[in-house]
Amino acid sequence: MDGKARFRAFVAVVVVVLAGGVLYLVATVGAGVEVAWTLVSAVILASMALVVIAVILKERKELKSGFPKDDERSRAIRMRAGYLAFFISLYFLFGMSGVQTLLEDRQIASLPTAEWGMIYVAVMGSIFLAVHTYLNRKGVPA
Amino acid sequence: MRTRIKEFRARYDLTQEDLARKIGVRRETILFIENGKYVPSLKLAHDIAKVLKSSVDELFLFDKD
Repeated sequence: MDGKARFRAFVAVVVVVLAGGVLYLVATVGAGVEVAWTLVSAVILASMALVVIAVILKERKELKSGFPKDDERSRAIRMRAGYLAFFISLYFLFGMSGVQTLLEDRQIASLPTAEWGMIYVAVMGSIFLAVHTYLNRKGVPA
Repeated sequence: MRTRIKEFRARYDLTQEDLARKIGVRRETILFIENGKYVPSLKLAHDIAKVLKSSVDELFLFDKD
């Protein structure tokens, strides 16, 4: 898939996701869900739309510049960031399971497993983004 | 690692953008290689040397050399 086709596919996915979000919002309003939750969903949807618009504008500019979207340096950064994010979040997972065990031993209420999972994914994603940004600015060590 | 890419670019009146376009990489990649913050693969080093009508040996200087 070439750059333009990939960009179009990305835009299509974004449109579908945002349209789904809007439909969900309309449905929750129709179902009489508490206004506060609808507002929270609207804020999340709006921030998603803002981020996506920024990404689309950047991608469009890069596509027009004629340079490849990624090359061996950007692939090296992605690989290094993925590798580090995976191992750092594994340590985080061990730490989390320790905390969970402690909470269970002391019979203190804890988060459900699904929510721990979401926190884990969020931490992994944040570490990836942080390492990626750092390596992109400072360079990849040889 | 130090490089003489900048010097050779100036010799052929090439900007970082021109060089990046000729090789098919991003401009930042050339910038990082010139500053010694990224060590290119042998293939990329060879491509740069070819465009700058030079050799890998001439362009890339390692501290032990």
